Amino acid sequence: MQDEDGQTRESHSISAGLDYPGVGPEHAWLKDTGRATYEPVDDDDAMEAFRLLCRTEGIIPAIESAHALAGVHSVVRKLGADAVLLVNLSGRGDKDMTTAAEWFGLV
Amino acid sequence: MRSSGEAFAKARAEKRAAFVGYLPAGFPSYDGCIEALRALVDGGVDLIELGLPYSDPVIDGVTIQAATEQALRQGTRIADVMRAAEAAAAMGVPVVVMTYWNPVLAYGVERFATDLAAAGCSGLITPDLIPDEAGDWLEISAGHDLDRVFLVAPSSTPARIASTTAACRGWVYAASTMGVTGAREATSSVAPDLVKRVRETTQLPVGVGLGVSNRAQATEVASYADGVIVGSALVRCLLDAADVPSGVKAVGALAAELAAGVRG
Repeated sequence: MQDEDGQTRESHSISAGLDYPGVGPEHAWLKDTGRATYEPVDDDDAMEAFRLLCRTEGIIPAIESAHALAGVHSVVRKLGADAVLLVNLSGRGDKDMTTAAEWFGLV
Repeated sequence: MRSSGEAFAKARAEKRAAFVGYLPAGFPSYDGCIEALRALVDGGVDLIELGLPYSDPVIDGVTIQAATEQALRQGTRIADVMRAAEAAAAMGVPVVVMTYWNPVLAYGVERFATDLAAAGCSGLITPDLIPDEAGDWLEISAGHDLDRVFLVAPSSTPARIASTTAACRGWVYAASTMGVTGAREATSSVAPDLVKRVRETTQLPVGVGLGVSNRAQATEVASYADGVIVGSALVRCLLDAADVPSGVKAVGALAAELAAGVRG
């Protein structure tokens, strides 16, 4: 995210680990070579996925990882209900309890 | 166009080190910067290092960050930096622009080099560009007769120093400490060894930067390096001043002190 002079633009994400304006070279390469596709996920969808995993599995996902969980919906729509999906839950959400409690209005 | 090598050759002929002075473009204002550069030249600087203010200044400490943030807030654009560079180049000493790489990429490397050369600048100091990834710049700078100044640090391996100095044109920037820019009480004890290691790989002059703020430190660094680079201490003069004229006056006074320092 940058302006025409290459100056960084401010970013926003509820997830501290995603609140930065850059993309790493590995991701840029994977996208350019077509080996991975990338879908946008907003704060609302990520936190709904966060709540769903907590309630159904008793696993607190990191909010970063909750973005991947939220992406499951659109993948399922494309592949159909019988598809077997592997989701990489890359981190745990104990560190995010304060952010989550504020988001859900619990504090 | 004056080459930066000219500044080092002149100093060498006088059996002393060159004094390299850094100021960011657009700070404290566009005009204030030009006045401060003039004071730097009048004070005896041998080579101007003009900073391109950038939003992610990874090598800069709080002093230069504060100055470049102000310059950006006031709307400083790459075109303004080119304009300031041209004004500086007309002051009688060589000028190099110090820039992080992303603004050059966004502007276009060829376009940036063309404008830089047209402004009468000698080249670029690129703190966050490693020669391994500088492909375009290596060719384009040569095409425009521009200097390429890459950085080496105390942590650089012998192989890394050799590959970096081989890619440099004009001179080599030795970062004397493992850290960000900013005035320090004591100058680095590892810098003399770093300069020695650089000289084993190249005939190019070696400038030492990061931490020098006064005459005694300038004299000390001048005893083992070809150039003494001062940035934050000069910027501090402008940051701490009550108004632009007194800041400019303070820059001139410090420049004269540092120019005396490199003369021993």
